[in-house]
Amino acid sequence: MMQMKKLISTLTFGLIAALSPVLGEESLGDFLTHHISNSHEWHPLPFLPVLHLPTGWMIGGIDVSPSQHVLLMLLAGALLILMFAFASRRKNGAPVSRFGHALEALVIYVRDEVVEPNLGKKETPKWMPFFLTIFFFFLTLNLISLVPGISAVTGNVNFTAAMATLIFIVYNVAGMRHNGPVHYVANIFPKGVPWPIMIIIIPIEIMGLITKAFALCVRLFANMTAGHILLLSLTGLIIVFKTAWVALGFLPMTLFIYLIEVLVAFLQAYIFTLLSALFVGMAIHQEH
Amino acid sequence: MSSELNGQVYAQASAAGSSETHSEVAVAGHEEKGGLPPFLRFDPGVWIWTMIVFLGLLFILRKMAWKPILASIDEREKTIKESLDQAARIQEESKRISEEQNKILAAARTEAHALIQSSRQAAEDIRRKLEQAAQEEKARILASAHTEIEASKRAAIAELRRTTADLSIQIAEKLIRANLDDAKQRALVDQLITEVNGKA
Repeated sequence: MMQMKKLISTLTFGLIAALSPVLGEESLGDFLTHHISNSHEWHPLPFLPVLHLPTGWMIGGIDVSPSQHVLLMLLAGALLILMFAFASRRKNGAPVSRFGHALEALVIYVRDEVVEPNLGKKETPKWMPFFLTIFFFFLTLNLISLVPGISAVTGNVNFTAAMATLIFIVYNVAGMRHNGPVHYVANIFPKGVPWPIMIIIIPIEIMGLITKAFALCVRLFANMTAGHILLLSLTGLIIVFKTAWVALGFLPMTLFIYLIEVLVAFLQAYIFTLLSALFVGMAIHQEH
Repeated sequence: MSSELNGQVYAQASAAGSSETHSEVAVAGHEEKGGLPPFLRFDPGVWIWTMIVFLGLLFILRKMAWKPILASIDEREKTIKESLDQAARIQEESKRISEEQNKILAAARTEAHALIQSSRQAAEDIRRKLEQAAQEEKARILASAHTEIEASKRAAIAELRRTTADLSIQIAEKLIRANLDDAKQRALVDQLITEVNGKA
């Protein structure tokens, strides 16, 4: 036991001492900004070579070259497909593997606690694939962002904004399809209000409609970015103190925050899905 | 692209100043670029990729995962619900059957009771009737026996009377016929008596 402890501590000290020169020459702001930003380079670990991603793919004046976050999105997608290829195998109507059971529990949870309370029993089957994809895509992205060397795609404001825009379109289109376009738009505004007040209310309600999606975008982005900044700041104390030895003091705290981030990964995927379902539900069932 | 530019700015900043100042210089660098740090900049490429990846995933996973998983969950829940319903129905049925059984049993018991009661009554009646008949028979037999005994008695008395009279007449006859002397008479009487006794 004592030998084991000695070995582990020797290894830890050795690793920190070895990394010290590598990490020595950066500023904290530089370090943080670099690690939470998207880029066309991927440098997972200090001793590995930097992976240069192609640049300059232009379509209609838009740079669509695959950045690090695009690569991670594709990776998460591939991972999801692989996971569910494995998990959706079943025998006599039950999943074959324990992993399949675990994922099925999440699927049932999303149905019973997220989609059904907001959309009602009748609409739920039609919407399940959409919300399940959101939940599992976000969950995967959140979780892989906790692997060292992988950054948070869900902490990229462009990603969350794109998803929020998609959901904005989805809930408005769903509302229009379900209630008829005229009825849907008319129902957004309260009835029986005198017209001078309507002048104030109409912009407020339109703002409210947009704010829902905007809040979705900012909530996920801010939570994921904040969590990663917190983790990186604790790690970044190495840069502030110019020695890797401070890591010994901050390591337990970093670990603690890291575990909270695992919770946050699930929580934010859940909240995003829940709020999307809530907004779609509100657009469909306007009477409530 | 933009981050590379920023990287250059950082590099220049780090080359220029000491570590205490470079973050300020870096921030100044962002301000030159339009006031936003790189992680807040608009990047339409990421938007397009996000939409493509998400919609692609939605399409693939819907076909590959969600439909089979949800179908199997639905089917399982349906089976469970049906089983539960069936169990409830069977329970209801068995309850009804047992109630019916109890009812039938109670009815049978009542019927049996009534039957026993009535048969007991009938047996009692028969017994009483038989007893009465026996009494009557007894009385009749007794009565007839009495009459017979009486008749026999009367016949015996009559016979006795006749025999006695005959004997008396014979004795008297013999007495009269042998009326000689006293001794002879005595001997004769004794002889006669012996004769009578022997005859009797």
